[in-house]
Amino acid sequence: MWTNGRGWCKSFLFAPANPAGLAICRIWFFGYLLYRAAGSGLETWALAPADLWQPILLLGWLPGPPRSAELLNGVHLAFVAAIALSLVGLGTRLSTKTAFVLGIFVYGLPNCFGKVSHGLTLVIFGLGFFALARAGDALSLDRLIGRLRGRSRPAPSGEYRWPIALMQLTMVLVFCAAGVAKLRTSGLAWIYSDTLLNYMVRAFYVGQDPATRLGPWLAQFPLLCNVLAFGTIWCEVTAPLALFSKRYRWFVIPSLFAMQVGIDLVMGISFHHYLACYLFWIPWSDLADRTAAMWRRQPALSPPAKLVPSLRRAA
Amino acid sequence: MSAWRQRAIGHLAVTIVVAHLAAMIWKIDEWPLSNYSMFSSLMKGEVRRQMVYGVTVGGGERMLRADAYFAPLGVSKLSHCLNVANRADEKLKKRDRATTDERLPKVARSLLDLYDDRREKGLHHGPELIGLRLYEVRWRIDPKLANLDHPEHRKLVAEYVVDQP
Repeated sequence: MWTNGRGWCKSFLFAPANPAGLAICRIWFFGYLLYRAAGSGLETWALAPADLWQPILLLGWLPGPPRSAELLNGVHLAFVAAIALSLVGLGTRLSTKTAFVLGIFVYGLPNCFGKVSHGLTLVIFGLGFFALARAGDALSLDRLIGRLRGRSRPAPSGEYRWPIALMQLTMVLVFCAAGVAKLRTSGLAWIYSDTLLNYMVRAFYVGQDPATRLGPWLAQFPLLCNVLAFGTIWCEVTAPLALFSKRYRWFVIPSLFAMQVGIDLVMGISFHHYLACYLFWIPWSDLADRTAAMWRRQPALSPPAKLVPSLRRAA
Repeated sequence: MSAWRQRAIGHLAVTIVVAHLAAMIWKIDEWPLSNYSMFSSLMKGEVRRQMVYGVTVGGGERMLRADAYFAPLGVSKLSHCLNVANRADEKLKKRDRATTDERLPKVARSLLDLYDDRREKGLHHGPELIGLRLYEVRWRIDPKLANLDHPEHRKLVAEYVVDQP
């Protein structure tokens, strides 16, 4: 069993994968971060009340809340540049590492004012994995430069599998932790009481500003709310099974995605960055292999062999 | 892929699993690691929040419930921050009744500066204010949301009002 377990871990983390799979994840991940980061600045935090300053452990080295809007703007610009370079894959090893280090500051700073939010935790882990990965070996400017210098195409390797595997692992652990916390704090009462119903309506009282009035509408059907509560805890607690069973993965991962979209619509709590991370569940490497195989079969589209002699005769 | 790199990545994977399990067991909440306990407690039909009310030039009060007033602190985050600061102040008062080192009045002042600054820049269209009052507010949850602007209970926690000439 131990050997089986080790074998599974090895195959899960290091099964040879096409470099294009990781490259697609890199482009999507950093493209999305760039889209989100370009629309929001960091300089507004210079005006946040200093009396609410409670630095997180990773930013405990700061002497106090940063008060210079110019400095914050500069850090934000450097971060945007790092993720843009990671996106196009130029100096990928350095740019991903820079994005990770600056990301801790950029995404950590808002958590230093009273409340820690968890919407970006997965992104920080993702930045960390890319910082250690060889994500620029395909579909990148680095690869283009390498080709011009005569470097051969990288072969499928475990190098292109483990960052995706670790991202999947972290994601299911996050969901599992959320489910366990509910069961531990409230037990099964979280399912059969009016807790979910009340949370859905509460959003309007506490200024979460849901985009729809689905919450108060759903609150008319307490039994449906209980079913949704059961579904939430079930999917969260059993999320790690997605790593082991391909069939279950097809059920639980889309369910979790739907749950997070639902939370956004009903309670106004957005998980945009999490939603972007679901793309890591698509088997890009397999898709890249299949596309490449189709591409190789393409000569079959040239005139069939039977036709060639007749064409020659006509000529 | 070299053997040492495989070992290093394997250790990283184990560390991630162990760290998350530790966070779950010991309820660690140290960003970016967390036990993700938000929304895990039972929710009765009542909401308690720290809310900010603006004191208008005429002396009236208005609940400030738009994120734009105190961005980048949204209403939800701000309410949580105020709750934390209030609890810290209460602890301080228990230790030293004559303390003048309370955080909330200072926070109210900073928030008014932030509100005014954003108003001057045209980032929101809230009314002109001469002060802020921080209340602990309680509502009974009504799925029809009829009592949204009329909480059942309000308790003044701190205030900052500019002296009028």
